[in-house]
This record gives sequence, structure tokens and C-alpha cells, in this order.
Amino acid sequence: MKALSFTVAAVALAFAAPTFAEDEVVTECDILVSHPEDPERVAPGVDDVLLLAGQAACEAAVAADPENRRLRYQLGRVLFYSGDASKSLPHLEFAAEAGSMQAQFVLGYITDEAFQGIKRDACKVEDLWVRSARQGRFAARVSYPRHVAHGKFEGCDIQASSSEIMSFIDAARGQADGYYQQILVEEVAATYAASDHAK
Amino acid sequence: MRPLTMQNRVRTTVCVLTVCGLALGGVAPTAAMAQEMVTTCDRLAAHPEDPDRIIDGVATADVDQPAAIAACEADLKADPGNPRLTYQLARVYFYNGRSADAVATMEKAAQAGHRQAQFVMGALITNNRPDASDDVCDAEMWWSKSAKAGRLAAQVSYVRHVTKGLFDACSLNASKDDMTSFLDNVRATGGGDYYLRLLLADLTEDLAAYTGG
Repeated sequence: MKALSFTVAAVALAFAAPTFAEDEVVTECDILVSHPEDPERVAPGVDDVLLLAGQAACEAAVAADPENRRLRYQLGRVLFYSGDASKSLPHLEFAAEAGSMQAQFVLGYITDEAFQGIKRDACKVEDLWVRSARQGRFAARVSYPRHVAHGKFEGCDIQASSSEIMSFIDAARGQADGYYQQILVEEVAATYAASDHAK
Repeated sequence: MRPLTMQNRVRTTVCVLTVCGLALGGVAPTAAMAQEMVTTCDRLAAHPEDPDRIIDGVATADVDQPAAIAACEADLKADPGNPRLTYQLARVYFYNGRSADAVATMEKAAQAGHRQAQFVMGALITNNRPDASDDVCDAEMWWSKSAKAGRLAAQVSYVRHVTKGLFDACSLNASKDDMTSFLDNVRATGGGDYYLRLLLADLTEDLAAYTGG
């Protein structure tokens, strides 16, 4: 349980301004499992997910609407928190491929960290994060340039040009919420500017 | 924690029995929260990130400036020199555009040892705010005090400025060991946040490079 709590805390990222989609049906899955920082969420989001109730709600919601990328991400989220990566990953993969910028970032993050025995794959992370950053996810807009600057995508096709990466950082400046996010963006800007990729 | 006056001892007794227990529901308890009386100034002007606040705190956008200034000025008359109330009055002066009053009042709170005020003094200086000192070494002094007193934002900011050479002209008040312990403390208390962990990783690397270790 302790290890699980750590994983939950590690994946439960900070807060974003709410941008609820008004025309979406809010399901029990949304209420119990949506992520506070998912730009596509339709409920406020929760940091501490009730695992059994959340899983049941999201399985029912996905059964009723299997193509819904938000619900598929949320089912993947609760399954991952439950420590069931093998069941979680297909849902996260589906959501990421269907265009969920939150799923793209999170799938990249857990792949980068090799959580729960997931195989580390830098080039997969690069591909997921560039798509998430292009769609506007703040976490990807800081993590992608930082990884490029630190050479973490060495050997991969780095899909974003230096000017596009600078545009990610500039956009992140406007999205930063609070003191630590602001100075993180400035750190990333300075680190990227000094990197070989920027020159 | 400053010594309690007789007036505050009486208030404290009342507080322990009544108001504080109700007002602080859901807030992580601190020593200050358990012992000090919650005033109107606290309710209207406490900063959510002030580690010495005794109530949840009010977001910047939600501060009722005229009411908060009146309350904090009145509460300070009843308890002159209270560092927390002095800081909170300075905070609202600042939001209200009273820059000179804000800086002078903030400095009083900082000199009285209020670590949030010390952090803010450093931030005002490094951001070149009007009426603040133009000597970056004053920021070094305030942030070193605040960081040593445990304010996370000062611990992060101090290491960041030192490793970037922004305090090169100053005599440093924190040693390499102090800076290492600052980052250890941030890691221990705030390391669950993704963005703070990224920042810590970079600062740890920067500090190692700066100190040659």
C-alpha cells in the first residue's frame, strides 16, 4: 500500500485551470477518477482515487462508450493506481492514440520512469510528449524541452525543431501556475538555450 | 515563536477552547496554529503558503483589500509588532498598490524574523520592484535567513541564485552544507509534486557542479 501511495502521488500531477467540456455527459467515472490537471476532464478531478469504486464506475462507463478517450484514460488511470499495469496500458495506449493529451503525457511519463516494470523506451516518450506538447499540455511543454536539453532522447528522431521547442517554452510561461512552476519554466528555458539542440 | 504577552495568553486560552479548533478543521496543524488566536486579519489576509499562518489562507484574487487593511491595522494596534500580522498587512498593502508602505512594513516583519516576509523581501529585490533595495546582496541576506528558518521557496530560490552566479558579488551566508540541506528539506517535504521534483533534480545537479562535487 505504501508503494502504491507513492505511485499515486508521483503520477498525481499538480493543478490546472478548469476547462470543462460543457456538452459532455458527466459519468460516475468522471466524478471518481478524473485527473485535476487533465484539460479534457468534465469534473473537478480527484487526487486520491477510490480504487474499487473508481474502477467499477470506469469499467461501466467504458462498456457504455468504448471509444471515449477521456473515459479510457480514466480507466487506465485507476487500473494503474491499483498496480495493474498490464490491464491499464491498453486503455492508456488507446486514449493516447485517440488524441488525449493527458494520456499522451502520462503514458510517456510512466514509460520514462519505467514504473511497475514498464519497459523504458525513450523514443516512445519523445513521440508521446511531442504530441502532448503540441496539443498544449503544460507538463509535456516543460518535460519535452528538458529531456531534449539533457540528451534523454539521444538516438531518437527529435520531431520538434528548436523554434517549435522555444514555442513550447514560451507557451508554458503563460500556463505556469504558481512560483515553482514559474521558476521551473525559466530553468528549462535556460537549460534548453544552452543545449546543443538549440544551437 | 515570539513570547506570549499576558493579553495573548488570555486569547490563547480562549482560542484553544473555542475558535481555533473550529476554524482550523482540515488544515495541517502547526505549532503556531495550536497556540495563537485567529484574528480578523488572519481570516482576511493570511497567505496560503505562509508556514506560520494560523488559518488556511486567502488566495490573492480573493483578498478583500479595504477590509483586510482595516482589520490588519486594527489588529496590529491591539498587538503591536506581531510579525505575522505585520506581514499580512504588508501583503495587502502590496496588492493595494501601496508599494512604499508594503516594502517598509514587509521589512519590519522580516526583521522580526517572519520567514515568509524574509522570502518576499528577497523576491521584491530580485524582481526589481519599486521601493525595494537595489542591492542583490540584501536579497541574499533575506533568503539565507528564510531558508535557514525552513521556508521552501527561499530554499529553492537561494540555491538557484547561488548556482547561477547571481550572488557572486555577495558574501554568502549559507555554506555548501546548508544548501545541500535546503534541497534535502525540499525533497522531504514537497518532493511529491512533479514539477518541484523536476526543479529539485536540476538544482541538485547545478549545486554539485557549482561546488565541484
